[in-house]
Amino acid sequence: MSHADNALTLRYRLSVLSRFCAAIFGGYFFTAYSVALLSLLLPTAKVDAVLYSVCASILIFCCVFIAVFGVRSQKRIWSSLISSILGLHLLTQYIQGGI
Amino acid sequence: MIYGLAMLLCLGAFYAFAMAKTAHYKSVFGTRPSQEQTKRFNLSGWIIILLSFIVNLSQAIGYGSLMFCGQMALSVLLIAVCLTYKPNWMRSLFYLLPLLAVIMVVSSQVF
Amino acid sequence: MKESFFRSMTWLHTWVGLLLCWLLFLIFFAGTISFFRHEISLWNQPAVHNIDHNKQQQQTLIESGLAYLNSAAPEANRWWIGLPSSRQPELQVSHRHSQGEGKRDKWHDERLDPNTLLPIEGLVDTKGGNFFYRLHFDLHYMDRKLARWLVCFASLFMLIALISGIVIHKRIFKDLFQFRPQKGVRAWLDAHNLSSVLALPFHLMITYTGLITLIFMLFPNPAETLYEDGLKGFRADFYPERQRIEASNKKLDEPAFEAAFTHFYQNWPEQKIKRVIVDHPSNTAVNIKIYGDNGTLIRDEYPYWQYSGTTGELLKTARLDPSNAEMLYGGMIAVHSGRLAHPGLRWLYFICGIAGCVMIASGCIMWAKRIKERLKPTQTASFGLKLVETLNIATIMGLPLATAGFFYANRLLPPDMVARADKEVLVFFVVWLATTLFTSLFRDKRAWQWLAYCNAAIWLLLPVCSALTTHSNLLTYIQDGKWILASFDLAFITTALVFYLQAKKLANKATANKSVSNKRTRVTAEQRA
Repeated sequence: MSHADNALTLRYRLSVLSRFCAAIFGGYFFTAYSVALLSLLLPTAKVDAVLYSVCASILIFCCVFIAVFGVRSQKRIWSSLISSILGLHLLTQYIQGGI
Repeated sequence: MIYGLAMLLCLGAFYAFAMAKTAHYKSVFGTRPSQEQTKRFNLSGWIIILLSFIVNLSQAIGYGSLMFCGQMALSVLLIAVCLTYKPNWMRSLFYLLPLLAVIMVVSSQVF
Repeated sequence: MKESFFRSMTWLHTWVGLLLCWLLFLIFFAGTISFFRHEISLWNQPAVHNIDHNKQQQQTLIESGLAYLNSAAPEANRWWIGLPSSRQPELQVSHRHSQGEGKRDKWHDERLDPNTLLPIEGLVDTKGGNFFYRLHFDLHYMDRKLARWLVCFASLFMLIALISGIVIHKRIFKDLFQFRPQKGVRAWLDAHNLSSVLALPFHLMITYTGLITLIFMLFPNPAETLYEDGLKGFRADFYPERQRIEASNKKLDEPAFEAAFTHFYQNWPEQKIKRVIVDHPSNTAVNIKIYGDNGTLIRDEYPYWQYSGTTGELLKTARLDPSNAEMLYGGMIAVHSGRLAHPGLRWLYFICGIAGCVMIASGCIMWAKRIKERLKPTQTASFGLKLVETLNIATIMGLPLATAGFFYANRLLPPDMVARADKEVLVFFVVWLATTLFTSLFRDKRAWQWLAYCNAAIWLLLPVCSALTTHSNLLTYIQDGKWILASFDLAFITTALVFYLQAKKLANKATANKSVSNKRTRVTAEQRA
């Protein structure tokens, strides 16, 4: 039972904690920025754009959450999450500035 | 009334799905099903469930599909409970279900 | 890679499911009961039981509601008329009064018999089904905002657990009907699979749409990016009917009700009305707001007409022709709350909700059993295991018991008690706390069995208690065709029966278990060796 032995090491516990943090907080911010961008991109009325993007948000959150637990390397999770959040944020700023 | 018919159809469909499984068929009828029988049960299950879906949707698309989800849940529950505790009843259901459906259709035509 | 993904999903399913399982059980349980929110409010209010079904025209009802309010509260800043439905037989007339600067306006609620149009006598102070409705997302004794975040968090975990559960349960349709009650932990696994698969569309739908109901708290970002003043601006755009109307100083003797309603009935003769609100009925700022009934349409917000009370002309309408986005969003919320459901669908909702409770409960129980199995015979139970077992039994057995306590309190507390509604809620929590204290001391199979018997007895006596305190019982309900009340009694008896069967089964197991458990430990020991 290598699984049970693993469970006791501090390292393992920390990696679990980090994964949950990535999934919850990283997932949250990723979703928040991506729906903000989505609402800007949708070519509908303002109310409708908000409603559509809000309805899609939970779907995005779930996909990110599952993906975080599906990917093996911790480094890749954090780096891709942070860079994509930054990218989304910059893109949103750019479009808003452009308008 | 029409939703009752849809419910019966749904129950019938899941009955057929259950009987298409060798273990369940054996616990009800005592013999192993032939491959032909399994195939037939499966096919009829799909046809009947499609019918049930259509009957539900014919009433109202949104409300009907909600009903359909609920009916599926109830059907699976009833069939599972029946298979576990009263497998004998399943055999009578084989004749009872079509009979009930016919009665329902006829009575809805009469009244 | 595929194998490791599968393993990580199993792991995710266990942890995400279990971290908040008791909170989830509470949410599911309260939500399931809230499908009968108005019915419970009716049951809790015996004075309303004897009211006959409304036979009046809606026009007459509205007119008499307005006349009643005009004589009872001409100075109110808002009148509110709720028309009777099949779930709420009474005509609700409420008026709201300003309490001066900085204070919240105060509501006075009254109810009229729709047939005699007289106020109903002998109402008691009770929260009714609204208690469970609020408990479902506001919890209780807790800051509202924090509670809602917690509930959202739990729901998100639920959704993740569902998705990962589908991934790991490969043979999802293969052993769909399988339930083997004789096989120990295997039986719990079967119960878990069966209850989750049979209502899988419901579970996914209810969790997703549940998150959507609180979505603007979770993700205000789209509204904040598109609107200058954020959510406020979005709300003003999306809910034109919520725009505040300021009072004016000029008095008005008689608002133009007749002109407004004549216009409405002429142009929308088929429209059923859900409620009528009149803002500032005594001055020239008067506005008449009419909310249409959606019936069984999958929509959440009601179609809306606003008339000027001085001239009787139509000022604005909303949602007469909703856009696709509104249909999507409103549809999700409508499907979640199930307000549209007729009794048939409502019971199906209820059954699916119970399946959800069973799913969560069996998951919790399996977890405790697995930890226990892993213990070596010489080891004593750790604090964690004790905690898990205590919480399991306290939530799974304690919540139904507390609910019964709430119903008893409604019937047995004196009607003229001060703050009676809060006392009912207090009884709910006291019973729950007592169960928790009991289970922190005893949490073996005996405790389960004892609490199951306790539940069975209490639920069985509930119809008796109700019959003794209200002058009517199951038979008279059936005779008078009061199906809602009759089904309450039948549901109580069924609940009692289910708990009795469970208790009996536990008793059988407790005697059979000794020999089996000996055998099992020997077998596992051999396997390990």
